[in-house]
Amino acid sequence: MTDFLQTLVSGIALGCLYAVLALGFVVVARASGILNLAQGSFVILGAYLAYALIHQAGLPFWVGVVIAMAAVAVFAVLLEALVVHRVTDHFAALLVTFGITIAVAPIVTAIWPGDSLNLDDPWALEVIRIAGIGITARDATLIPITAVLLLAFFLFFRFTRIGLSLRATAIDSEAAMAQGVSTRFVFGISWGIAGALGAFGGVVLSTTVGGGVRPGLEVYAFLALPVIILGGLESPLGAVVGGLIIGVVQQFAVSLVPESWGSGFADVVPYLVMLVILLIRPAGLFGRKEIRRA
Amino acid sequence: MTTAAPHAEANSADPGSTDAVLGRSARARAPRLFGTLTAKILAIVFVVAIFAVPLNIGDSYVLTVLTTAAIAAIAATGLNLLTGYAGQISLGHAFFVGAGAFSGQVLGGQLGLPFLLWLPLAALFAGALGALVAPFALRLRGPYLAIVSLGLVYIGIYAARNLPALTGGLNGTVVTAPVAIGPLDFTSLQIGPFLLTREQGMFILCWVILALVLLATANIVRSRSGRAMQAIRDHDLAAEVLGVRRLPSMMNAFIVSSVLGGLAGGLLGVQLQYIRPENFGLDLSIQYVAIIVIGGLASIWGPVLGALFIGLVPVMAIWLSNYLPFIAKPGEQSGVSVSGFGLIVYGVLIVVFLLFRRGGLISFFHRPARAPRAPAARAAASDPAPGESTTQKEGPSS
Repeated sequence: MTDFLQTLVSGIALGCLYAVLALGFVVVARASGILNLAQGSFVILGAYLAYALIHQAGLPFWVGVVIAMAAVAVFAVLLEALVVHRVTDHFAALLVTFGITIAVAPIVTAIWPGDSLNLDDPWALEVIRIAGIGITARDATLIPITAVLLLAFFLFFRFTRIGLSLRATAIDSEAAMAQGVSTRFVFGISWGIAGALGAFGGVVLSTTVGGGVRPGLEVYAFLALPVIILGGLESPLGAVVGGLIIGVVQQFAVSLVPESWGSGFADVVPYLVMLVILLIRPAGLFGRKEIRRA
Repeated sequence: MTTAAPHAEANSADPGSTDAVLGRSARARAPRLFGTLTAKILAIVFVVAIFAVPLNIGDSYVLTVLTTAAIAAIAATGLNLLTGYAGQISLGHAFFVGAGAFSGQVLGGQLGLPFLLWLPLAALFAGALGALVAPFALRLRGPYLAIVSLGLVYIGIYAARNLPALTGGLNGTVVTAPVAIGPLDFTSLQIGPFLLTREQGMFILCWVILALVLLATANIVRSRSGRAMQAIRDHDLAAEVLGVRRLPSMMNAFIVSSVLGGLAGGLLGVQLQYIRPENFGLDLSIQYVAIIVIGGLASIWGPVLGALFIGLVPVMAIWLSNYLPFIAKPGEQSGVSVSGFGLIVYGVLIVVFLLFRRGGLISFFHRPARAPRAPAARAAASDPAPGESTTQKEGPSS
């Protein structure tokens, strides 16, 4: 039983990370219909900026994280306004955003070389014991913080004027425009949110045990892609639920799957779940079935 | 011309004939393989160059770069069929190339099948994998294929690492598959009194296969199935109304592109002589995407031009590292590594070409389109001239 709960808690922590990464994709997909693969560049840029601010400039951990998130949000907004906005169709937008991630990652890792840079996070290897279950201090901090972040996100969407214009644009951008919603503003806001979420995800990714800020972080952002297929491409709720499901499933795969299945099986579990979902419910758990009229 | 033979000249304007009713005018016929005299001459020059270049260049490094470019061009031609002509983005082309490479070694090396058997079988194996995946990835409109294919790359590497009997597992495997058609061994080719090196033989083999692939692709693209793909890409709803079914058409493109990926993989294995699962990761997929976007989407020669360009990037990076301090020399740690420099170039050029030059490098060689008839058409619209307007205006006047 304790083993079960132990795995469950680690799975939820991992799921929180997936939820954050997936929300970054979903926010942009909802607003503009683009699958924004530049999310990978937000993740790696956020992690390395946090490293520069915390380790090199000596700022307190959370101050550094917040500044890094803000900086990446600005980067994302500029990227949208200067580059992606010039592209008119989804086909080119996907390739352009992919190209951005390809180009940004080696630039960032060339500025801050090293295979694993220490982020100086305040948790080290502390473990808190609650009713026999060991939770790392990192997970114990990150689960509530992610929960608060997601809650704030939903309140913002539900109860603010900007949130309303975001939802209106998602449903029908032309009708929203006719009502006086500036779609450029909405795109900018959604990219900014995606940038901040990506940077936060990058920091969380870098604090795993034995991880650190390292090259290849941009590829981890793509781990959220199975999550958005599971949850539905344009559903924020789906991103959270899907993230938690995949996190828990993956963590159980780590602890339950026998050695004979080979090394790295847990790493491909999200993709296998994705294939199953595409087979039985292609629109995802919370996605709408596409209906097209001429 | 006026005889009522059922298959009279298609451009006969007999209003009563079935051809005219079904709209099978001369314009609806498949486009010609070689549109112009220039195209014919260039094709002949290309074929001559395949044999002339290796016989005149002995430098094995140059030949290796060019041969690798030909193999990349074969794979990229497959991806171009899917992405350029069918409009579906795949980030997992390396999966099919890897499937071709490893199955080629199993069939040709372990089972000892001859070249003319193992290479097509390896390509068909990759095609079969494509046929398995296609229904998952292509059921929905949208970016699903990009996501699923990205997953394929990771699933493929996992599978290759954990099948040591077939792939050598983590260590990879030496490729011993034969490269000989009957008495013609391409690793030591004998032409008259000349004995060619392995590099020269592989150059001829790979570029000849590339030429055949280009010929086949040009024919696919102008055939019904190829035009069906392009119709779905341009407007799927309109195409379906005209009787082109979306899913079969897209699956067709995906499977053919997987077969070409597998074909390139088989050749890549022989060329590299030693393959590991990591060779077929996301970086290789990125290369193929870069090749088709930089070379020119939806063009026959675009992938060839793109592959030659991409093949030159690492060479350029090593040369530039002598002059630019921020590029690390081979063996040094500081600055951008040579492979990192390549990725930056690919990423930046993908963005630049898609923003400013959708036609890719190949579009610089195309003659500008014929002088626009827009002013005349506008004049015709405001003041319809009898006779002229019927050929230019269709539909809206009714």
